[in-house]
Amino acid sequence: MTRGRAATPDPFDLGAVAGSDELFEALSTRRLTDLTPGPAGDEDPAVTLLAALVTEVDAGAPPLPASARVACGMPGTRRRGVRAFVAFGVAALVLTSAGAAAAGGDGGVGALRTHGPARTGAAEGSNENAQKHASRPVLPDRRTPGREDDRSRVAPPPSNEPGHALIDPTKSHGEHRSSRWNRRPPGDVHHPSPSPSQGSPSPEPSVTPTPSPDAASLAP
Amino acid sequence: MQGDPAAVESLIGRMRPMIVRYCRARLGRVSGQYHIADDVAQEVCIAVLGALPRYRDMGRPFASFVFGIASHKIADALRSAIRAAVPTEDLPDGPDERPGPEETVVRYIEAERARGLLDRLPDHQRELVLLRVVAGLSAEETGNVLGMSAGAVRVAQHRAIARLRVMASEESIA
Repeated sequence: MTRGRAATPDPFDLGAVAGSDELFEALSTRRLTDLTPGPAGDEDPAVTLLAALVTEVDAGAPPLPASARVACGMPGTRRRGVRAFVAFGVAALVLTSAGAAAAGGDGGVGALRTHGPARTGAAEGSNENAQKHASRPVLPDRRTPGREDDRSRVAPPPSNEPGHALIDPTKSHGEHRSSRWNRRPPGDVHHPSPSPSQGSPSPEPSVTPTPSPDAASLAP
Repeated sequence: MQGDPAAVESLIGRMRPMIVRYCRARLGRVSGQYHIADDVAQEVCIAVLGALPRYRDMGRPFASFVFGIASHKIADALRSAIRAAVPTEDLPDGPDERPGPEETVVRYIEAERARGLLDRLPDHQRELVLLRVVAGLSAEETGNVLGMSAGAVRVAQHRAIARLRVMASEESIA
């Protein structure tokens, strides 16, 4: 009963484990005079036998090298250091490329998804999309069949409509319209034609603001 | 290291003392001599040299490669159980500084007892004690060879020494 416990002691008795490690270290480094007595105060029979084995094996054998600790492959800490360095480099590369894409591109999600050389392609793609959006009429033409058709078609160069300059190419098509209507200054009397079904771009009326009669009457 | 005789010599110079001790601890004396164990150690060194061109660093420690070869060679030697003729030394011309006959016998008996106790240990504990004590590896290096952490080596060696104490006590009582 107690014998079984003694054979397999509690591995978490750190003091006993450290004491055994000191014994093994002394045997390993051949410091046989440093061997302390056993737990009962008398000579430890196991340590005595191991010391005798060590002494007998060492007799006539070539001496151990001065630094008896032979390098067993790459030490763990050094391996961990290399891994940490590589991980840090990869993380820095990813963060740098993502930041550059976000700063240099249009800031959209597509730019964040691309890294490295594909980043320029994404920027060009975003420019093309901006040009397509700019060339598209502000109100959708009913004769145009769909969005895919619009993308595949080569768009004509943008017209010189003054409203197109207000379009933010990063916004979607619906946002273009709403932003355009929202951004119109309150004093602007121009309202776009509510019947854009003619298809062909009609010459826009003059957008020169005319002074309102109320303002003229208020003037001194 | 390939084609560098100095590097090969340095490698063998570092590994051979540990190989010799490991083989001696495992095989013991035959007819009072270590010649069988030393021959096996020599074969291990030759096998390591022969296997060096095919050795590829796969992340495992080189010592585990060496001691793996050594354990195979020792198993072959135990299997064949060759008991060749015992070579005799030349008669010494000067005083013999070695221990006297009584001390030699006592040490020999104790070493044989230690071997007997080690043979009764589980295999992994016996290997651990031999590498740690006889070959002189540290806990970290022993763990590298056996695929354990240094903490696991310390716990296992603590269990091994406790078991050796119990077995030694039983033997002395008997």
